[in-house]
Amino acid sequence: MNKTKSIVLLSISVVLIIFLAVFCFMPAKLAIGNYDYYSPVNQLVHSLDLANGNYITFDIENADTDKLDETISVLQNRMKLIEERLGVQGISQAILSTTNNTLSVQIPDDEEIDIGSMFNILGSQGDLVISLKEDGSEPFIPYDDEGNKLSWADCIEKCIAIYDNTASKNPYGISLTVNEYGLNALKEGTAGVKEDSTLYFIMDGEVIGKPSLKSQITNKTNQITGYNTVAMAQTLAIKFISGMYPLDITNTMDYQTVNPTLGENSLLALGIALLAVVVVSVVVFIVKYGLMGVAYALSLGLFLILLVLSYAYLPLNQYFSLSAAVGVLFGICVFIAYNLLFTKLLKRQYNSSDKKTFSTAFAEAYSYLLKIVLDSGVCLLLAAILFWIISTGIVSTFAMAIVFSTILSIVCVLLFTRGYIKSLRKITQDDKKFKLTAEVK
Amino acid sequence: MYNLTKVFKITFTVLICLILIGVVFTFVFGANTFATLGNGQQLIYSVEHKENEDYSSEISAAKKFLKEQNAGIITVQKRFDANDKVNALLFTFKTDKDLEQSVTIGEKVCIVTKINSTPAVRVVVRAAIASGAVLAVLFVYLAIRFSKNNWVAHSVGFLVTALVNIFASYSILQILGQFGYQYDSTIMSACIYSIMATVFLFILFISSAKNYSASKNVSLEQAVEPALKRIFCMMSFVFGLIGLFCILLMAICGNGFVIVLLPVLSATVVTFASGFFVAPYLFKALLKNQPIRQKTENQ
Repeated sequence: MNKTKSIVLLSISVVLIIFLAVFCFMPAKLAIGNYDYYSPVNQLVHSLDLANGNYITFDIENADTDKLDETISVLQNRMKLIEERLGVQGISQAILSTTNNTLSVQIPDDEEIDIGSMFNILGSQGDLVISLKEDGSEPFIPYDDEGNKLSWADCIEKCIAIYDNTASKNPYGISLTVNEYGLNALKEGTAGVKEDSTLYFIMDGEVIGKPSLKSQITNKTNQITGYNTVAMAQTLAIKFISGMYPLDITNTMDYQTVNPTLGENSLLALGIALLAVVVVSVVVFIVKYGLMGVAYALSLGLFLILLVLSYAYLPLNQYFSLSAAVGVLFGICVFIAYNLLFTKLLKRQYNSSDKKTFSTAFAEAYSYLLKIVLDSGVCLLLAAILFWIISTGIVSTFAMAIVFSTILSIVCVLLFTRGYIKSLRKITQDDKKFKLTAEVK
Repeated sequence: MYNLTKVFKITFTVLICLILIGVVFTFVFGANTFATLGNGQQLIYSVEHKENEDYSSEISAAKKFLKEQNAGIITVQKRFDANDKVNALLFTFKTDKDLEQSVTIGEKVCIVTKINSTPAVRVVVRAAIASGAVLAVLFVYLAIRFSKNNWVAHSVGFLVTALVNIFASYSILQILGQFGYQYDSTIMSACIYSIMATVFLFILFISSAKNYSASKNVSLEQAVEPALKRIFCMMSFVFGLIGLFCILLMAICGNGFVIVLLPVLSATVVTFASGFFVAPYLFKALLKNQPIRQKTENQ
């Protein structure tokens, strides 16, 4: 690669970095056709500590602590299911607070789900009745081996949303799998069915499904179809599986918004602090290592762009909180440490007593760096992935941020920093510009 | 650079003392948890919407009242109605004794709700389990990775340093609890951060020592101090940047950030101190006890 080619490649790369940086970090929202375009930084989902949330209140009957705890447990189960099934991020971090007769939930504001659906899922009693009568009389009641009455939530093993590709309209539905006790109740209830009948699924007094029946039910898995959106089917599946509130709960439809728990300008302050770290590191690198510092700055630009893109587009149910920002900061610091190591190794090899050429010193420094990066990278990733898998909530997002940023640190230092130093060296052979003459023994 | 034995003795003694004080404080005063982790409360102070959104007098009145009730850290949020008009201020806090469901501040009657901490406790428990699992896995990994090259110095050295770091960082927070500091479930992020920073610094130090040992043809024991010198400035800068980030945010934004970032800052200081003043001595001491066959292999 000659000098001209290096200059051209480097110029293209700089323009590309600037373009991608603007594309990623400008908080732009443009109306294009039927869809709005959001820049990647606008697509980051923030948790309650950094973004506005919804403050929803339900009325509950006065009750003892045990029943209140059970009610909160069902509510948390529903929120977890909303997070998993409907892709609403950070909802398990909701702040729950109670008085004797109210239950308030502070949850993140998410475009994936409207507030009406949130009320529908969280505020419904979840009282499921299965019967051959439309009014719910003569319900099927499951019992355990000792003859104790069970609720249907105790008998439902699995409930997922499905798509029926044979249906001409309303193709969405749910697939419901019950356990032995549930199956016994269904068998007993439908024992007399010999001709076309209808089985009614009634939740909180409302018929939510009425599949036709031609004979006795003998399978553990059954389907109810006839819903026109997947969200509708998912909502229903969540209600089926999460069970019934032990306390009477009333949907007040009272919701308000609250600003972030860390304060109104927390996101701005966080951005400024991260920017300060980045700017200080770039200035120090350029002052101390000259063109090698420039290579670091370009590589850091790509690192940050890739990090934002991975947060915006990877479908890993990630959301951005202050903890995640600390994880990202840790990744940035790992990246800085690797780059510092690279430049120091290069300087050391180049200035060693046996008069090496730049390319020999570069190859040796890179070889040392590769060993160190692989050794430390494996340990860091092993630990971070385990933390990500085992832990939950904000701790999990913190670990995930470390995984993303460590992988990108390794990729960027091994590919981009290396590439940029090589390109810059092709452009100028002046050791002073690389600050290579300053001795490090 | 410095006398390894002397600084080890001083730093290790300080860290062990910190841990002991932390244990004593935990038993005597209990865990100084914030409202979201320790079943705290939320005070709802209704306000009329103001165009300039300046509620400083209401905020100071409520904070004064809560401080009189021995509340520790207090965070404030604005609550908006459907027309985006502020209709209440939410104060999250924890006091020694729960307030009644209705309190009067000046002439204003405010509702007090009780925060349910079950989700936060679950996060802490799962993260504690994860920390144990990760420490065990890293111990085994380092033992296998360096099985031919004195695994004891590598794996035991790392494990002891990591445990000292975790407990010393926690102890600092327990001591700060006497000055009003309270932590929430994000403390576990700082614990994880401490483990990650320890393993990173430890591997970097070992690699640097091995590099020096190979290039200068000296034993690994002899390479420990020059290797430390090589990475000291570099890692001071890196840890300094993390410190800068934490101090900047805590100074500018206050309470909410202090809850999350003080544990990170504490872990940063402890990890740096132990990474340079404790781990190298431990590593060297454990190396000295290695079998002669392995010593020869290293050389």
